[in-house]
Amino acid sequence: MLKKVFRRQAYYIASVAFIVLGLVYYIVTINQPYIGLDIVNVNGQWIVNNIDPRGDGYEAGVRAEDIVIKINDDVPSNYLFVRKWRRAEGASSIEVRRSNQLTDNFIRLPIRTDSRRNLSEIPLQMLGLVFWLLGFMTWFKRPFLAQARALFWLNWVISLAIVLVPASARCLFFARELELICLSIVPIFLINLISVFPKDNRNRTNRFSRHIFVIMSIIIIMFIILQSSGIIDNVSSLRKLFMSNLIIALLLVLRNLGLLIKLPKDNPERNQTVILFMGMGIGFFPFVFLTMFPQLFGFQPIRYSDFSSLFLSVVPVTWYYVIVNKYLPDSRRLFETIISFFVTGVIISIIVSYVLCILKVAKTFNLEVYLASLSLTMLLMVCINLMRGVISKLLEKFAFFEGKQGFKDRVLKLNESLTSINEEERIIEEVVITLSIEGAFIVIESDKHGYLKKAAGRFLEKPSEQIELEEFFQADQRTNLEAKILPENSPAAIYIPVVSGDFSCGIFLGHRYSHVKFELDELPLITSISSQLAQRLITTFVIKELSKEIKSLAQRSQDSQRRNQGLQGITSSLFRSLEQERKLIALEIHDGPLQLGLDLNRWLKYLVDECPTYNKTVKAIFHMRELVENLNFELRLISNDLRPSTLTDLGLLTAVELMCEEIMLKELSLISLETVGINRDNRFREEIELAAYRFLQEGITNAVKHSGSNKLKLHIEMIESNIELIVRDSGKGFDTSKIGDWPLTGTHLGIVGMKERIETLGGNLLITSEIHRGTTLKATIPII
Amino acid sequence: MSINSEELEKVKVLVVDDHTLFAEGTVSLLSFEPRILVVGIAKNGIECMNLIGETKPDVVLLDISLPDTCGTDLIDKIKKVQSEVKILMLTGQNPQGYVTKSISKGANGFLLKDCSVKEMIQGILRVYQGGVYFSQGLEAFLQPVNKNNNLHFPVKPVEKLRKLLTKREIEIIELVSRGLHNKEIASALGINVRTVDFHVSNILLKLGVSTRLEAVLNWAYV
Repeated sequence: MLKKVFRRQAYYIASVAFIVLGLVYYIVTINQPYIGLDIVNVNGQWIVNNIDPRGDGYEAGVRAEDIVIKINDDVPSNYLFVRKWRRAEGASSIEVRRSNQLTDNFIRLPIRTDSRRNLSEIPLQMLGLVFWLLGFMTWFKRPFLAQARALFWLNWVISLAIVLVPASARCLFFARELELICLSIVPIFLINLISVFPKDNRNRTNRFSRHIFVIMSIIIIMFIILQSSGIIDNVSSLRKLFMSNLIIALLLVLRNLGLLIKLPKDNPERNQTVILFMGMGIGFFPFVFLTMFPQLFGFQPIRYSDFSSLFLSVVPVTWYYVIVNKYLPDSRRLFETIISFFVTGVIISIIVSYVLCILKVAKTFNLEVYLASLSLTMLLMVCINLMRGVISKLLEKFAFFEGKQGFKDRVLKLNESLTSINEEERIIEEVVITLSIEGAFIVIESDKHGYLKKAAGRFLEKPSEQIELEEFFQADQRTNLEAKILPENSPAAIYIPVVSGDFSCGIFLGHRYSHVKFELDELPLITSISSQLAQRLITTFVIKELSKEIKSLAQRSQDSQRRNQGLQGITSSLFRSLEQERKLIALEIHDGPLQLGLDLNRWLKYLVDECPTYNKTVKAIFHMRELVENLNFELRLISNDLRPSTLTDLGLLTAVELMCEEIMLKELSLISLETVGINRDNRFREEIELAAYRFLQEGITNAVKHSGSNKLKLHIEMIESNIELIVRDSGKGFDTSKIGDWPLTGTHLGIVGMKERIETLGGNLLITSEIHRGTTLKATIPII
Repeated sequence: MSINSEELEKVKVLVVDDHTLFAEGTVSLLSFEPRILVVGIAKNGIECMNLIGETKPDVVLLDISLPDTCGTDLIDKIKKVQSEVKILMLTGQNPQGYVTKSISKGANGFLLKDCSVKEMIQGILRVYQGGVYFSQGLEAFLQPVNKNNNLHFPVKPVEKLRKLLTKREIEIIELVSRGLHNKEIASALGINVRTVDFHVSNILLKLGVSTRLEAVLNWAYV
């Protein structure tokens, strides 16, 4: 935490230090002359190696190659700054001898300050300030971004170096040492920044080069200290070391950025890099153009060319812009704009300089004139563009073009209100009202969903015009989906085709006789709002269709549910009447023929016992008895099959036991019965007993017939208010996924019917089976 | 007055059967027997209870299937009114299951409806004298219904078993062992199903088992 706070503090402290330092040195430099002499010792003679034409020395008449005889009435080698830095700063008088003249020409120069020159140093101060300010703002806006922090420190060092330039040129209070130190550590910060920007690539190369630069900076700083204290005296090698350090750092940075340009075109990092390059290009161009060109080609630079250094501030601005803003404009478009701007400038300036020549304002048509006119033209163009931007903003703000603005507002309002309206008619009316047009007509067509047309305003009363527009819509191929202004003889003013999915839509707006006319530049807006409108209508259309479908589906499902209920009722009554019928027939047989048969048999027996007659008669009677007994047997079987009287007489459990025994007599099966919570005296409703009995009967019959197993297990259990019946075999089983097909294919109808029957009683039937794992039928019937 | 004394000794019998024809047949058949006097015919449970009160019979011939109630349920009621009355159950159906229940409720005997008059008289008299009477073969049903499911293996020597069964029965058990049903056996042997049924139950009885599977397994050892 403390560390964090301190980290934040560090930025403020650094900023304050910068401001204080800048202020102090600026104030000190104000009345300090700048001589601008660079002298070297050649064979014991101090010769002016280089002279700044902006310096007071030049003003006073010193030129390059002059031999300095005395500084402050003393030998130059005694002068502190000459010893230290080969500079003559701080001298109040200099004596020189012009070397190109045969005679020694002693010039004694009183040095005085020029306040105008001091003014020319203001851009430099401003540049420094801009660097620091942008660095600070970047950090302030994105304090947690590594790039922003790196940029802050880089900008801080650079700005410090820049601000120190005037003081350092005058060799004031270690300003020169300080500036050199600042510049020597710039490469470290540069590498720091480039290793986190635009993407984090703290790779080995960057780490390694960072170490190298740290070592280099230490060497240079030591060199500077030694030089400053006078132990070493080798300014030129210091300068060489120093410059090479900077150049290597710059090359490294360019290499890093250059690698990023190779990235695919849609990569945001590439975009950032390109924007950075453009910023740097713009920033350095005026400086190169106004300061370096004249030096290279050897003509007098424009006065106050120091201002060109202000353009350098474009570089930190670009850095700031790229780091602070996440979403950047496409660099290609920016590039295009800049190129076109530049080319325009170049061409215009050629024309201007040529015109100047013809008009004899300029004496000859040379580079100097051209460069001057180019810079003027550029300046003018920048100013014009700026002004144009400002004026258009102002105009927009004060709404001189209320009509257009109004239209935009209306479209926006319509856009808003469209989302809240659901009915088609009202949507179109809304369009007519908000756009204040006199009519609207919309056709929606879809192969799948049908056809819809809606009219509002004037078209409402004129079907003939509607037909005309419809015909137009049908004839249109809708290959070009742009809004069109219709010819004068058409009923509507504009036509906007919209195609969305399998819907195609035509929107006609305005009316032929209307005083409201659309303008060409309103078309894009109308197109966009129209496609919104079409979407909206299509959506409502589809929703309507859907709701219709849903309604019919719901109706159908209700119908089928009702039919199902009816069917269930029928099924249940069918079972009931089936059982009733069986009961009736069983009774009929039992009470009628069976009793007769029994009686007959008895009488026959009596006859045999009581009236022994002829052998033949006995034989006949015996045969008759046989027949009657067979008849009784069959009748009993049928009656019992139809309705097991044991069930009604003796109860479910006994009846089931008897059934099992019966089956075990008739079939080669072993049935084991297990009961839980039920005894022979438990009686249930007739329906339930019958269903349970029939279920077990059906289950056992199926198992005996199909399972292939001769061991069967029955389980009857009372669980709360349910009776649970299980028939389990260990036979071959079957694929349960086919159960659903049984009612359709008409197989295993017994089980299917049983399921229905149990379900009508509010119970359920569960069939589980697996191939070779047996089958289990489990029925649960509520007994209340 | 031998006739009077004989009349005094007559067993008063109440016939409870809703099948008029059969009941009247019974009455007319019993009328040949001097020791028995039919005191009334009841067609249902209510009539039965009324007549018991009125006629005070010694023996009730009780049909199991009555229109308003089950004969077995009527036993309790009768016993409640007249505990000393003897009850002889009568059924035209398969008596399996009913026998145990009736006896457990206090019935004194069990007759099949197609028994001969002789048998019926015998039954009535036996019951009247305090004995128990079952129609032929009905004692077999007196075994407890709930048997364990362990397969019953032969205890009798194999040779004895083979001798136990008649030639016809051996023929039938062979067919049963091949998995044939009674109907199929009947058609294979050209006899009627009832006969096959009869044979099969005889075989089971002789082998001392109660299920077809046990019989077949037993026979497999023979």
